[in-house]
Amino acid sequence: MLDRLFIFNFSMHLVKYISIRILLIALLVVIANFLYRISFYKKDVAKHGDILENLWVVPSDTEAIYFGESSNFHESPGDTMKYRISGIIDTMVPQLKVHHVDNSGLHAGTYLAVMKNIPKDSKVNIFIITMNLRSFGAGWRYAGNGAENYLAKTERMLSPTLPIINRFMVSLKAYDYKSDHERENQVHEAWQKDTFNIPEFDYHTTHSWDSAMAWETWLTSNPNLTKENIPIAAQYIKSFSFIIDTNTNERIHDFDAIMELAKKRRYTIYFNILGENVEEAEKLVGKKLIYLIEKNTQFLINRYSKKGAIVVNNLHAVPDSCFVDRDFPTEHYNFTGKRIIAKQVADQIKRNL
Amino acid sequence: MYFNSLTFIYFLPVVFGLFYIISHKYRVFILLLASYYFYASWNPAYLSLILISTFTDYFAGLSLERVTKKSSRKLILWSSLVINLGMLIYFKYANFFIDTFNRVNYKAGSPFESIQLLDIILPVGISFYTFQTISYTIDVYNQKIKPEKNIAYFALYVSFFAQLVAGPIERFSDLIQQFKQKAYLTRENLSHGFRLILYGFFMKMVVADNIGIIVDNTYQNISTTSSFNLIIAACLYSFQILCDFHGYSTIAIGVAKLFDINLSGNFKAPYFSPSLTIFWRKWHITLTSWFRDYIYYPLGGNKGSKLKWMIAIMIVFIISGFWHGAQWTFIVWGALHGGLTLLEKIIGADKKSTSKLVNTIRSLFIFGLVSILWIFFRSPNFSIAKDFIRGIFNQWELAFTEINYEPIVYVILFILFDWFTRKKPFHLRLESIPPIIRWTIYFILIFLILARSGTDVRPFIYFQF
Repeated sequence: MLDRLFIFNFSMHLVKYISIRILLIALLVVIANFLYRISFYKKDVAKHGDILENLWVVPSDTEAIYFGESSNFHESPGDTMKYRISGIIDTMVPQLKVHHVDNSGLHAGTYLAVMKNIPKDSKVNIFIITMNLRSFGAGWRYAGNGAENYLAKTERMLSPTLPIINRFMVSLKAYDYKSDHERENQVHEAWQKDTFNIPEFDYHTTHSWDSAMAWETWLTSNPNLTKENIPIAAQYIKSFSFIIDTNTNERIHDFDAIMELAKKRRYTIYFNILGENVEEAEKLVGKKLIYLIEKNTQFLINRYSKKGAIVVNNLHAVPDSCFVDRDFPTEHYNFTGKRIIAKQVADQIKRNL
Repeated sequence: MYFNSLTFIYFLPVVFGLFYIISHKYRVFILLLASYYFYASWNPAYLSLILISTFTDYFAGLSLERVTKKSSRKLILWSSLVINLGMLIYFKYANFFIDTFNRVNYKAGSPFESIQLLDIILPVGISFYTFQTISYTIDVYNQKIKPEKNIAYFALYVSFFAQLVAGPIERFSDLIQQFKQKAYLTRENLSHGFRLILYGFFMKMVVADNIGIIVDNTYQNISTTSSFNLIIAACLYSFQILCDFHGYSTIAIGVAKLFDINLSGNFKAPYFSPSLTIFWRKWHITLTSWFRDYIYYPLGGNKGSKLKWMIAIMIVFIISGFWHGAQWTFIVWGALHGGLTLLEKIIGADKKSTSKLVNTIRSLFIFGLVSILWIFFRSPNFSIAKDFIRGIFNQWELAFTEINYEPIVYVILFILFDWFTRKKPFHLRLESIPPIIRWTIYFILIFLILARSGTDVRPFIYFQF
């Protein structure tokens, strides 16, 4: 029986032949990687993983990196002071050099990928990481319009393997690529299936709650609602009506992995829970939505404080007047709003320095 | 599971390892299971179609051997054809016929209600494996081959993963003995196989996928694109479709070679053809020879009257166009090729000239002609094809738009490879080259595949057929 097996029929000559070629090909890949790094790499990073470009320009004396999405840099048209939240923190804590790595739509998955790319001998050992409550919801986790594909591609480009292999994996679509249609289906499926399981609630899924918004009865039962602001009320429901499930929520897995990495590399982590427009949410949708928002926030504070992070809770810190967008519950603040957030974070850092 | 996917890169070594580890008599099952898994990765439900086709033709073959009465044999043959072509027509052409009926109905102002289109997804590769099973049954009917008794080998002939979804379309007599013979892992098989896979990936991922970006952009903005840009896009599409399909076929041949199986070549430098007749001998060779043997010859070939011969040629080309897709643009594309091929034969321009210069000029002309005809093939409808062709003539006043020249460099590289290997396949031609040059070529290919492959999501074009 044994003599029939391929490995026993394999002549030493063939073994030598294959081994030499495998070594040669490995050598060629290493040389190709070297050539790639000095030729096309930067162009590809700019195209497929521009967040890494962000990291490259971080000054060498930086001690703390602020990870954020558009909340960090979005400005109100009326702002005379054009500062990022990270920039304000840098000014408020002069003894710490803070620099930002940010881009629209980023989330913990991307922050993690970038963190893995930080050289182990870097001076940076403090990370202030934006924790956006909406990023735990289905609407962001499975974002359509190509944003999530782009981030998944970026994460692949930033994987800690040879850059040329990452580039090849991108061309093999070896990342979480889904068509817009598939992603929209994922969002709608989650809105229909994920339940809150709170008996006192009239609705137990985002879908049923959102559908109810379209009913005329809502207009009569809530004096704050008009036909004009029903769409924004619906966006609040879609963005915040969920209960974080630690088993299935990708963002939790990402934040957990950040904590593991931080533990391994002895980083200090600050999680900055962004301020939400709870005033507007309560006015348009009601206390039940605020209950869910607070429940999720408390859950995140407990979970990550236990894991060693310093969690700064800004949920109620920013008043309605500081929110820039009026058609979507985005965390875009004017300068006053950004300063409020920055101060809370800066105070916390000062206490720990 | 595409060849250019991470799943396939894991799948192939596993199947390869299992295949050579186990005893020869069980290898057929490894390949069969792998093939079914490969196909099911698209849509498990469509496995049932392959199984229907397999059982139909397996039992048709056995019955044809047993039955001697001519009318009964004919009945068996027709039953097999009806089942196979029925599946193909239902999945591929049903909506085309419904849509055509609805249009005619609407234009004629008829009182009949429009028929709703069916919610069908075209099963990958159905046009390819159906043609293989049909050729088997016809060959058994004509007593050219003996029917296969072992259903596992027959099932593998229908579904061998390397060529299941886009060919080459193989004949039973060419494959079955290779499946039955003991496969040996040799230096030759390994080196030839990997060379072909490498070159196939280069054609598909580096040349075709990068060109695709320029071509797609042009087709999306025809009205604002200059004539010169349109001409460039039309020429580039000729290379996109060649490299996409040639790339797929080459990977398929290379993969089969790793299992000691020789598949037929599908392309032989078709754009160096001095006539359309020669072009069709070098383009998608296994499909062309299938049409020749199972449609052209039965229609009389060139043995009957001139009119009959001309009709036979036109029928073959129109069916060929229709085979490519259930759209009128494909039918017109086939008909134009048929008409021009006929014209060429009538005026005696179908053969090669003795002068190299004349052949070169004619090859350039044929390339231009084929590129214009590809416009019908590439356009989703007539209106777009018309806009594109009109744009070539009328949009000279628009400014030339700067394009990305990088893909053009890869096209030139491909043309050079194609030119040097036009008489001998790429993997054999390389053998006569000194190792240092050979490995330099490997290095260039490896570098380009790893670092410069297209990054947009672009499946193989021929999968839709």
